[in-house]
Amino acid sequence: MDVLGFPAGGAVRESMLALLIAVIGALLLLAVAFGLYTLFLRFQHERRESRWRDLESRWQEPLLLALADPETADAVHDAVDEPYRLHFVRFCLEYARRVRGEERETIKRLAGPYLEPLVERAQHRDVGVRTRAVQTLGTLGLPTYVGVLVDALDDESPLVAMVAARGLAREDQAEFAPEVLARLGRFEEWSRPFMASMLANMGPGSAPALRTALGDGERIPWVRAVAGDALWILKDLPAGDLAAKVVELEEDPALLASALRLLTVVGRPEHIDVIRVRCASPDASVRSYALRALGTLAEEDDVPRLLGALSDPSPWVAIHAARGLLEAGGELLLRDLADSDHPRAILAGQVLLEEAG
Amino acid sequence: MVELFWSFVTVFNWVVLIYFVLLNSVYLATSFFAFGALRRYALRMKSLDLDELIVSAGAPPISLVAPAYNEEPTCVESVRSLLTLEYPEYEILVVNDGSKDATMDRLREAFNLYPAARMPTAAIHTEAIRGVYRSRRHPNLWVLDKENGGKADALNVGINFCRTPLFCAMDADSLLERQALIRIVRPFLEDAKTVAAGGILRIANGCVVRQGQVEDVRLPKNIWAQFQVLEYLRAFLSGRMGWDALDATLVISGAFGIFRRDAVVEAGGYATDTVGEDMELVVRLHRTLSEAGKPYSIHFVPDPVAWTECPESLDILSRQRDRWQRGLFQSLTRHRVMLLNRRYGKAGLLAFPYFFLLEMLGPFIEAFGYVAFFGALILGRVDTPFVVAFLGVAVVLGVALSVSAVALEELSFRRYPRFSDLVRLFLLGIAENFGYRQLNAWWRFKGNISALRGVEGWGKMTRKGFTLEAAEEDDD
Repeated sequence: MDVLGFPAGGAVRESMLALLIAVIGALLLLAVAFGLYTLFLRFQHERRESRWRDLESRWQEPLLLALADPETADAVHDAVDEPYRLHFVRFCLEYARRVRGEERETIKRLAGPYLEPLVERAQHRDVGVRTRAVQTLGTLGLPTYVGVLVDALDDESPLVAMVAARGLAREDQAEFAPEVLARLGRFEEWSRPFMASMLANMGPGSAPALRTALGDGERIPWVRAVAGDALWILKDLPAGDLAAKVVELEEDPALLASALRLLTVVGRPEHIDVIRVRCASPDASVRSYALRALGTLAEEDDVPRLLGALSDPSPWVAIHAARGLLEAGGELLLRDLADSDHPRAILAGQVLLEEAG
Repeated sequence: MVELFWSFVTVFNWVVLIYFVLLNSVYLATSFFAFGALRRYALRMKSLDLDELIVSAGAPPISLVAPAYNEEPTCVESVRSLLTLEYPEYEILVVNDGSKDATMDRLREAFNLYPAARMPTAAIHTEAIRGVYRSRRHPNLWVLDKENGGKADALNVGINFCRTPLFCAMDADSLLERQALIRIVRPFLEDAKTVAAGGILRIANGCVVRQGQVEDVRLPKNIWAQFQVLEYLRAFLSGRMGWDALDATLVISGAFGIFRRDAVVEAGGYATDTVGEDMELVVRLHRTLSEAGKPYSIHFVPDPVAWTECPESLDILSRQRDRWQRGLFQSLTRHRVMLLNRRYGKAGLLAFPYFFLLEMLGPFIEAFGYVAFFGALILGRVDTPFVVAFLGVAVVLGVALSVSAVALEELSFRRYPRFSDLVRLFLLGIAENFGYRQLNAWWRFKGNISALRGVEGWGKMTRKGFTLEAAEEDDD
C-alpha cells in the first residue's frame, strides 16, 4: 500500500520511516529522562527529609528549653553548626508561625545572629530566593531589618511586594502602616476584604494612617475603600465624621459602601441625614449599607423607610433593611410580618431566627 | 472505483497523522507548561502562610452546596466530614434532590434538623422546594429538601439559597481534605477578577479513610481503578495545570469547584438540559463575561484535593465515560460560536479549538483510523514497517506523557509515598497503551454517537462507598 500517498520503496517513504524511528528514539529518551528525574526527585526528597528530621531532633529540645527559660539560649546556639545556620533559621521560622508574644520574641532572638545572609538574598535575581528571604526577615528580623522589607515593597515582583507587606503588617506593628498604605495601590488586584483584614491586623495604632488614607481624595477609590474597611474592622470611633463626609461627597459605589458600613459601627445621630440620602441610591450595595447604618441610628420617622425597603427588588437590600429594622427596635413589626402573607415574610422570620442565634 | 477508495484512504491517513501530531503536541506542550506552573505554585504556597490565612477575617465566607440523591448509606458520614473542614466561615447547604430512600430521615435524625426560615437570594428556576431545615447541633448546616430535578437543578437550589460571595459545588460523596477550602480560595484573594477555581480530584479507591478523611494514600488493587489514578494525574497535573498556565481553563470538575455567586447567578446558573453541567457552566461563564466585556479569570489550583471513588467495573466505567463525552459534546456544540473567535480571548482561540477539534471530534478520527487500519490489514495493503513505526511512536509518546505526569506528582505533592506505588505507576504508563486507551477511545466514540442521538440521563452509577473501603483496609 502507498503510505500517505508516497510510493512504497520511494525516497520520501524511506525518509518518513527514518523520521518516525528517530522520533521513537527521542521520545524513548524523553520517557527515560522523566523516569530518572522522578526517581532523582524521590531520592533527593527522602535524603532531605531524613537530614531535616536529624536536625529537628537536635534542635527541638534546646529550643523548647529556651522558650521555657531564655537563659538557656546558649545551648541552642551550640547545637547550630555553621553549614546548617540557614536550616536553623527555617526551623525557627516554622516555630515562630505557631507562637505569639514572648515566645515569638524568644525565637526571633535565637534566629537573630543568623539572619544577615538573608539581606543579600533579598536582592537575589531569583524571585523564589527573594521571596523566602523577605518572608523570613518579616517574621524573624523586625525591627532590625525593617529597611529591607520597606525596600521590598517596591520589588518588581508583586509576590515579593505582598510578602513584604504582610511581613510589615503584623500585630502591634502599627508604625509601619504609613509605609504599607503608601504602596497599597500596587495590590489593587488583591481581594479588598483580604487587604483590609491585613491592615487591621496591625491594631488600633494604625488607625490614624488609615483615616488619612480614607480621607485623601488624591488616592484611588479602591485604596480609600480598603482603608474604610480596615477602620470598620477596628471599629474606629474617631473615623465617624470622616466617613460621613465621604458619604456626603463621594460617588464611587465601592467607596460609598465602605464608608456606610463604617458608619454602621461608628456613626452618630448627626450623621443620619447623609445616610438617609443614600438609602435611595441606584446602587444596591450602597442602598444596603445605607439602610443598615440607618437601622443603627434610626429615629421613629425612619421605621417606615426601613419597612418599605423590605420590598426592594434586590434581596440583599431587603435583608439589610430587615436587619436594620431589627436594630431600630422593630422586632414586633418583624414578628407581625413573619406571621403574615407578605412577600418578605420568610425574610422577617429569617432575621428573627438569626437574632435568636 | 478502487483507485478512488485508496485515494480516500490516503487522505484519511493524512487526517489521522495530523490529528495525532496535533493532539500529542498539545499534550506535550501542556506538560511542559505544567512543570513551570507547578514550580511557581510551590513557591507561592511557601510564601503564603496557610495558618495565618485560616484565622484571617479577610477569607471570604463560602457556602458548600452538596446535592444528595439516594445517599442514605453515606450522607451522614459525608456531612460529618464537611463539618470538620478548616475554614473561618462557611455554611453547608445539603440539597436533598427528591431522594427515594431515607436520606432525609437519616439527616434529620443525625443532625437534629428543624424547619427554619431562609429567604432565597436569587431566582434561578428550579423544581419546587419542599422544606428548608437547619441543624440544632451545627448552626452552619442547612438541608434544602426539594422535588427531584437532577444534579444541576439541585445545585441551582443551593445557589438560590446561598448568601455568601462564594459557593463551592461538590458531590455529596466526595471527601474534601480539611484544608481544601483554604487552599482553593487563594486565587480569589490574589486576583479579585477571579470568578471560578477548580481543585484536583484524586482517586480514593485503595486509600485508608477514617472519619471522612483519607489517612493513608495507596494505589487501588483493582486494575481499572489503577489506570484511572494515572489518568487523573495526567488530566489534572499535566492537562489542567498546563491550561491554567496558559490562562485558558475551560473545565472545572463538578466534584469540586468554587464560584463567585453573583457571576453564576448573572449567567443563569447551571444548565439542567445537559449531562455536562460543570463544563457547560465554565464555558458559559467565559462566553457571557467576554461578551459583556467584563475582566475575569478562571483558575485551576492543584493542591486542594477532593477524593472521589472511581468505577471498578468496565460496565460502570464505560457509562461514566459515555456521559463525560456527551457532556463535552453538548457543552461545545452549544457554544460553538466561541470556536477560534478572538472575542473570547485565549478560551476561544486556544482551549475551545483544542477541546472541539481534538477531544470532541478526535474519537471519530481515531475510530475511523482503527477501521481503516484493520480494513487495510484484511486486504493485505498494510505497509508493515511503517505501521509498526507509527504505533511505536504512539506507545512511546503515551508512556512519556504518563511518566511526565508521575514526575509532576513527585515534583509537587508526592501523595504516593510508597516506592512500590511509584514503580507501579510507571508500569501502568506502559500497560495502559495496550487495551485501556483503545477502550477509552471506543467509549468516547460511543459517547459522541449517544450525544448525536440525543440520549439523556446519567446512567446508573453504583459505588462501594468509602466506609466499606476503609473497613476492608483496616482488616488487612
